[in-house]
Amino acid sequence: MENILELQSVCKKFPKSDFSLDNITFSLPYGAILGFVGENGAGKTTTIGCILNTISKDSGTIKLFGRAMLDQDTGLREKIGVVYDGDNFPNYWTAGQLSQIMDGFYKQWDPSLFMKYLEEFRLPARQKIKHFSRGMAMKLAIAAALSHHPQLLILDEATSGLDPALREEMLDVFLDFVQEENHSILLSSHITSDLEKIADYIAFIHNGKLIKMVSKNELVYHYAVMRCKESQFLEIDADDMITWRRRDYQIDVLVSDRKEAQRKYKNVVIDHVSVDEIFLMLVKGERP
Amino acid sequence: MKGLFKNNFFAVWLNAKIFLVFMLAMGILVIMLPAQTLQMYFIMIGIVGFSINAANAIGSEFSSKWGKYKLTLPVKRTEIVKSLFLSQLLWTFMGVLLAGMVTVLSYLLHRFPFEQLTALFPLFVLGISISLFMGAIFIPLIYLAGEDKTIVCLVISLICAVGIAAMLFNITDISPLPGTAIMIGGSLLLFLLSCPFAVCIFKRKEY
Repeated sequence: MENILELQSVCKKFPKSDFSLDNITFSLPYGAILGFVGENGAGKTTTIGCILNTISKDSGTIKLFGRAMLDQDTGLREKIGVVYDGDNFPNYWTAGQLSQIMDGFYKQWDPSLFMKYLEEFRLPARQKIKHFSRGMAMKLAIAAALSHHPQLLILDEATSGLDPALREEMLDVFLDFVQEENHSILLSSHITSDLEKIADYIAFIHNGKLIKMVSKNELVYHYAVMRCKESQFLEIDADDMITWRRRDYQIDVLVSDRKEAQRKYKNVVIDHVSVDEIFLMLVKGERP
Repeated sequence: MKGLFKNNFFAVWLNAKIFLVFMLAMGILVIMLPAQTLQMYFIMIGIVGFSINAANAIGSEFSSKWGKYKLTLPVKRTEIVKSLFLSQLLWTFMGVLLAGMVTVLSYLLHRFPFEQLTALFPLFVLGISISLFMGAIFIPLIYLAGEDKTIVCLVISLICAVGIAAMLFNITDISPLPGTAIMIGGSLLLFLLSCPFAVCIFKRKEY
């Protein structure tokens, strides 16, 4: 399958802090949504910065639409829509002025589509952005990111800070967007329930390292957590464990093959696992 | 570039419209009352004031993520910097235009009650020079120091610009024509040289 975005061994060090991105490798196929999960400061925004060239990487390769994107590749940026967390635009603009300005940047800016989104999202065109609520400002940013007919959406914590109803509304918009088979979304978030609903792939990042990338189908159908007593835990083959975590009198063990685990360890309770739980086990659990 | 011009215009216009109202009120006074000092202040404040507004707008963009967002748009970093220099030039020109119009109207109404009309010309030169020197220092400085330090960068660049221009202005006392040429030429040269320098700094900036 062809990829719209590919990262290969991307590294970035910050001399003034201990943080660094370490060998980040993942790819996003056409027509898919990739959820990028990690705690605050894990490296999600830095990775997105490297992809969008707002931060220069030290080494590794990043390909967008099959090629590296340099500063002069404005044509590639025509195909990308971006939403950052918080205030994306100066608060003294109105939505109408935003449309006029974007029209000057994008060859394919579609003012009627933008107005359609404003109506759909119930956003006033003449009110200054400083009078918008956080949810309204995020909806405006999403409308702006979609109104030049991009192929790739890069959303950095675009749903955080929104109430559940609004998040669901936005997730529906994202699902509509990927109905076109050449459209993809990279969605960074620490709200794992959102990713569970819409992502096709989930990449887990922790301390600047990509610790796991898994398809949602694999996660739903194959991943599981074994709830073990101490004695049961001691009998588990280390090769079957991804990570384990002690919780009071129980030890949780993350496995990637539920059927095999059910067959092999008949007396152990085996549960389906959520993205949240996988994330916690990968980050806080111990490796065999 | 069209998007950048629109963006810069909206950013500057936010404060410039208030400044314009103030300048128009002051302009009416200058036209009504033939006072040389008032007219001199008007010329200086008009030219330098608009360029200060333009410079200040650069920093205000970074109160949101727009400065970072702009880098994801189909525009080169070089074009972003060039557009700021052009905006600085445009607003300086706006100041010159306004000061010029009021001076002409005042002349038509009262003729010239002061020494000579040519006495006002060096003031225009001084205003343009200060504006250009300030822009030339401010734009690279704000990229070097960080966009959150707009006010201090603006103060430093304005003090430096006034200092340089005042030194050069002394030459016009001794020999008016070469002095004027040195002031305009020097400020324009520094302004033009500052642009690639600012591009160089901005290309290394990470957001």
